[in-house]
Amino acid sequence: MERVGIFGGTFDPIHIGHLITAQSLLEIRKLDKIIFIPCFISPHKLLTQNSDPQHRLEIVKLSIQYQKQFACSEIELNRKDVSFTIDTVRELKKQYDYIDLIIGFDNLIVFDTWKEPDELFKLTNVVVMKRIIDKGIEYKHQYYEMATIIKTPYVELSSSYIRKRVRHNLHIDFMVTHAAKKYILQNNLYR
Amino acid sequence: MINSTNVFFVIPNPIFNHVYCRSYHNFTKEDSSYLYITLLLNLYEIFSSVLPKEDLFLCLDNRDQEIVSGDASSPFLLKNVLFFDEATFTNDYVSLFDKKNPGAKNFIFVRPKFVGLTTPDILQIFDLLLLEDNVLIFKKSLHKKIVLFATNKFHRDILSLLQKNNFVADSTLKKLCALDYQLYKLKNVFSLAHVNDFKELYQMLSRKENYNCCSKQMHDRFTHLFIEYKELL
Repeated sequence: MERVGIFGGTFDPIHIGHLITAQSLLEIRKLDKIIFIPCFISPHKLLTQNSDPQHRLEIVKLSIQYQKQFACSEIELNRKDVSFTIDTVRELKKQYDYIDLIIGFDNLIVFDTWKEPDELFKLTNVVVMKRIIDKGIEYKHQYYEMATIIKTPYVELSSSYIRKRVRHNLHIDFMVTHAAKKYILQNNLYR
Repeated sequence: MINSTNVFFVIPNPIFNHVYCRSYHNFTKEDSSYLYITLLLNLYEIFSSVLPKEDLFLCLDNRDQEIVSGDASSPFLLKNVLFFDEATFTNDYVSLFDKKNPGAKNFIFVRPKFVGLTTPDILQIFDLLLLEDNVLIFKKSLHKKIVLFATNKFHRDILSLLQKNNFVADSTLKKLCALDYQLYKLKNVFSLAHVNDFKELYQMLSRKENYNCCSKQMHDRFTHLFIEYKELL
C-alpha cells in the first residue's frame, strides 16, 4: 500500500523551508511520496490577494522536479473555488488508501474551525509539524490528542519575506531553488 | 505569556449614565444601560477568569466617569478605567494603546456588545498569539462587524483601518492583508444590533451548548431583561 503525505498551502512561493520540512517528514513518516497541493483560495485567507495560481503551481513544479518522491497536484486549483481540505481528501482517497494530512502547528490550534474536522481524522492521519519555536498550547481541543505531532526542522523563512525581498530588489538565492528564482525573476513576480 | 497580554474594552458611547445612554429598540434608558453593562460585565468576567484584572482596561466615555468612579462596589479595577471625550475618543484611545503597549507584548481589543465568547476561545487566542509570526486574530459578529481582534505585534494602522472601515469585517480585512500579518478568523459571535437580536439572544442562551458563554449571575441579569421585555421574545 502506497503511503502518501499531502502538504497543502498557498506556496506563494514555495521555498526551501517547505522542501526541507517535506523531506524530513518523508523520512520520519516513512512515506513513499509527498504531494504538494497549492490551494486556489485558502478558507483561512479568504481575503488575501495571492499571486496567479498558475505561477504558484509552476514554481512548485520547478522546485520539486529533481526529487522523485515529491509530486504536485492541481486538484484544488482546478476546482477554482475555496479550497476545503475535506473535499481534496475525499478526492484523493479514491486513489490512495493511506494518507498523512500534513498541517502546520498553527492549523492545529484552529483545527476545530476547519470544515468537517472529524471526517478528516477518519480519512487521514493528521500529522502536525511542530518546530522548535512552536510553544505548547493552552487550549487543547478534542483534536489535539488525536493528531500526530512531529518535530520538524525550523528554517526561519517565510513566503512573505521572500516576496518582500524581491520587491526590494534583494537576492533570494538559497531561499528558493535556482529554477524557482529564475522563474520569479523572468515573470517579474512580487514587484 | 498570559501576563504580557493587555485587554482593552472600548465603548465609545455612555452606557453607565442613563441620561446619555442610547436606547436599545424600545427599552427604557435604564434597561438599555442594564443590557449594555451586562454584556460588558459578562465579557469582563470571562477575561478575568484567565487574566489578572491589572491587565484589563476599560475605555469609556467621559459622561460615564462620575457614575463608574463613584461606585465603591465596582467589579472593575478603577485605576484601569480610562475616560475619553466623545469628540476625541478615537484619537485619544489610539494614542493610549501606543503608550500602554510597551509593557505588554500582546494586545486584545474588544467591542463588548456581544456574547458567545468562552474561556477556551480566549485560550485559543493566546495560543495563536504565541506563534512566532506576526498574527492578527479576529472574531466577527453575525452582523459581519469585527468585535474582537488580537495581535502579537501592535501597529497603529490596524486600529486606524478598523476605524476608517467602521469595523466592517470584509472591507477591513481586505485592507489589512496589505500589512505583513498572518490572519486568523475564529468562530463568529452573537452581537446585539437589531430588535430581533434580543429574541435570538434569548434562544441562544437557552441552548445547553451555550451555557459556558455566561455565568449563572450573568444569566440571571439577562433573564431579568427577558422577563421585562417578554413581548419581544
